Amino acid sequence: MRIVSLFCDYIDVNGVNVIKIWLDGLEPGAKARLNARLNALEQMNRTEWGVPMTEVLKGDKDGLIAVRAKYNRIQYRLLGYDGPYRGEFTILACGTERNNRYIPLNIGEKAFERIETVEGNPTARRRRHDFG
Amino acid sequence: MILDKERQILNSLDSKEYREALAIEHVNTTLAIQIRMMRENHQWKQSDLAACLGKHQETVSQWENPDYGRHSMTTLKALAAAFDVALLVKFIPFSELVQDMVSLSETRLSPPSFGEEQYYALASVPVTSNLMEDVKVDANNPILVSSYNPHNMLTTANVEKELANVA
Repeated sequence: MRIVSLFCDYIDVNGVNVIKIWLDGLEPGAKARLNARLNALEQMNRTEWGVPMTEVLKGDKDGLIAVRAKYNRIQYRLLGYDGPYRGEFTILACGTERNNRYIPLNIGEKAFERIETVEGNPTARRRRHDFG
Repeated sequence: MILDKERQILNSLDSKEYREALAIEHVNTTLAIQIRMMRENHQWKQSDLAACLGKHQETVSQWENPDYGRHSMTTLKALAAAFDVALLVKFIPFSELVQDMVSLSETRLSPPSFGEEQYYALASVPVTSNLMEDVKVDANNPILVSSYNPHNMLTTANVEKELANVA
């Protein structure tokens, strides 16, 4: 049985798609790489997910999954989780990784806070990923 | 019906810099995925494929990394031969690129080898039929017309349509 996940973006309290804003702030090549990766991943069987495209995080980020891409020697990371509904993967926070450390350092905490927010009001606080 | 995703991607193409980057990234991503999935379908390790092509395992690992993006035509032709699939490289309009992006499927990401196509073509022929009538071969272009067309194609378009039906 094939299982796929559609990507969603976290929406903040003001109704702003903060994931889209972060992606729009990247240089075009990096944004294109991440969007091309998300596009392919959501059409692949979840059993095909894995390094180097995704990584199941451990330790203080246990429960989160990172979508990974390297562009111009920068390691980009989109942290998200499976939910709020079955078949959805919501991108919660974005950053970079250098020397095994995430930037911003509190990206994990921020992601977990946002899971609670999304679960509390899925309709308002997550939206289908914007590939534009 | 045009999908939201399709519309979003089409709108994003206004920027020349972005559309050039997106075209490159789509190729880089799908090539890397195709190489890995075809290798796994053959139940080969990276070292098996490397040995087949006279390369190091690390090189195959690079080919399977979507961040790599430096596959040469020579490499791609050698890979096509190793997997016994065809390699098609052509220039297309961006509208076709977007169509390709939203309609990836397992069959497209991991195309069957020639042998697998033959197997499925023959397996689909009714046992009472005349084999030569059902399996069509164009004498001028002797390529087996395959009926390999799994119904379980899973694409964004299909998933979004299903979700719309549920809603």
